[in-house]
Amino acid sequence: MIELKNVSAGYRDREILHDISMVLPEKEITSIIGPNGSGKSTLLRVITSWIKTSRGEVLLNGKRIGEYSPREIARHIAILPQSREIPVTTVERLVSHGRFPYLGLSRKPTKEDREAVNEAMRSVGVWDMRHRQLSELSGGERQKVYLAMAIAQGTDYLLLDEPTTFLDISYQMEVMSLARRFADEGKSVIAVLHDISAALCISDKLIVLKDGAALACGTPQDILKSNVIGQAFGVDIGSYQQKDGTTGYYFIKKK
Amino acid sequence: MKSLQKFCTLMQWVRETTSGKAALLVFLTVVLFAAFVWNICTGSTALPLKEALFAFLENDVESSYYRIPIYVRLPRGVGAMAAGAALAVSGSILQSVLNNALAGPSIIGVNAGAGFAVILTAAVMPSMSFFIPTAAFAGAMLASLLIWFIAARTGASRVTIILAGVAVNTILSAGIDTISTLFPDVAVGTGSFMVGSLSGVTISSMKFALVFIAVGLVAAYLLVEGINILALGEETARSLGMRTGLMRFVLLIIAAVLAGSAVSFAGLLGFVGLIVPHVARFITRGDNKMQILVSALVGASFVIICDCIARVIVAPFELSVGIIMSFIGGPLFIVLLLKKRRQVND
Repeated sequence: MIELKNVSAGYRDREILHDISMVLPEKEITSIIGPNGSGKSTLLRVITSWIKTSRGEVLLNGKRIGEYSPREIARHIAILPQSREIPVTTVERLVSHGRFPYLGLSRKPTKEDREAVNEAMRSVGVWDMRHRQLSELSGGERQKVYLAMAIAQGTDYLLLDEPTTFLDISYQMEVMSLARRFADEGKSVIAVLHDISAALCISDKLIVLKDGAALACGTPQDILKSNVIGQAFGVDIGSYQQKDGTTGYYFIKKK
Repeated sequence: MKSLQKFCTLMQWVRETTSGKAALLVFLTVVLFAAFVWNICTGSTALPLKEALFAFLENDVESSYYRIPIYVRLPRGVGAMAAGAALAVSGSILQSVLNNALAGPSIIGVNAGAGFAVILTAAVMPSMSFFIPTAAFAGAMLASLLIWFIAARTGASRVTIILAGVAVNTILSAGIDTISTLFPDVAVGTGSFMVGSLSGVTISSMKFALVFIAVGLVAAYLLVEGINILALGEETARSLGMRTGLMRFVLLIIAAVLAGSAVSFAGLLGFVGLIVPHVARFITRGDNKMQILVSALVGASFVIICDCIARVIVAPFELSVGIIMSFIGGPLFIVLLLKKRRQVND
């Protein structure tokens, strides 16, 4: 379980997050939404202990996150950062790096590590491209490979920082449906999303941030009823019935 | 077209199969051995291999066929191999740690840092020659840390890191020139030192450096998984639980030990630390374990072959190995860049 208690944090002398308290929902998809600069990515970095809190504390399974080593954290929480290199390596080799937190001093992968890597590649659907160079893949294919690496980490929590940015609509849908499947299989998925409509459709819970403060945390229905999205973004929200029976959302800027 | 296809198939075999990788390492080792034998036989005095072997087996210590190979060419060959391997692996590490394909030890001031410390030590403590490898390492380390500090502190772009390195290089080179002017009798002979030369090296003059290089090469190989993870980028490496700051620092120390040790006896050999990692990367395509091994073998062969050419090309005179390396390395690098650009355009 990950719990934030009165957390304030930021960079050097600039505080971004102010007094945030919450328990992150488990085995569900939780989307963090908010305007630019509201502290969404900072919140993910605080959860992984990349940024230290200036006040308050983050607890992982009841223990302060600072008491865990980086490798121990990486065995509990996998994070897919927004900005990534395109290293000169093959798909299989990249996914196998997901087992780094488990390797001993010799850095030799065990049979269990190899099985976890193969399973991750099959699960995400990159098995057939395992021998290809990363540089030969499209942006969407690369995103799936990095997702497979995060799955190979075998963690309870999967943090995704804007996982669909720069992807075409087909890969956006594929990545989000993978996130859905991982949550259904028991992973706690926390995703920073810019696409509010997608967040409302796919998430079990939403966290709405504005100016570094958590305005609300609840189900999409609760969030819609409270009109907190309207407050955060300065928009009015409308909905419509889609052909497949699901609800779609549109936004109109408030005058 | 067919030959290009064959070449691509061959490279794929070398990159992706265990037998291909083993064959590549055996091939490069054979090339290195052949270059070393050529080094023994080549020079102002031609030494037929048969006579040299005969004198060696007979233990004929008075014969020039025994003395020249043992006291002149063997140390020189060992020095060339060690310096080449050390600078190439140092360059490989620097390019990974600074995440910058232009980061060679001679480009960003690491060699100049070592050179400055060597010249300073030779000028102010001429009797303490045993201290030179340590001073070279310290100089290389300080220059590396300065670049790293600038990169980390400013979040500098790749171009800025190189420009900062060039500035550090310029300052240290000015320091070397100042000392050379103030201490004209400085023991290391600044002329050949500045371009890099293996003339006159002896086993005893480089024994400490050889130990440092051996330790540095083994350490680089053992930490190769760290280099692999760092190559994924800062945030991804951290997401996998790596202490990236610590790992970069340790690797930087290893790169400085290697470059500093090589500079302490071979002078400011340029280019090998920049070109060879690129050649190795072209061959291995991202397998950093192979990258380190191939860099070491190609670096060693490159310097030893250049040193042989330097000795025979204007015989009976001798050029500094650094000059030959620049003449061969420069065009080779341009060809590599053009090839890379063509690949990108394709």
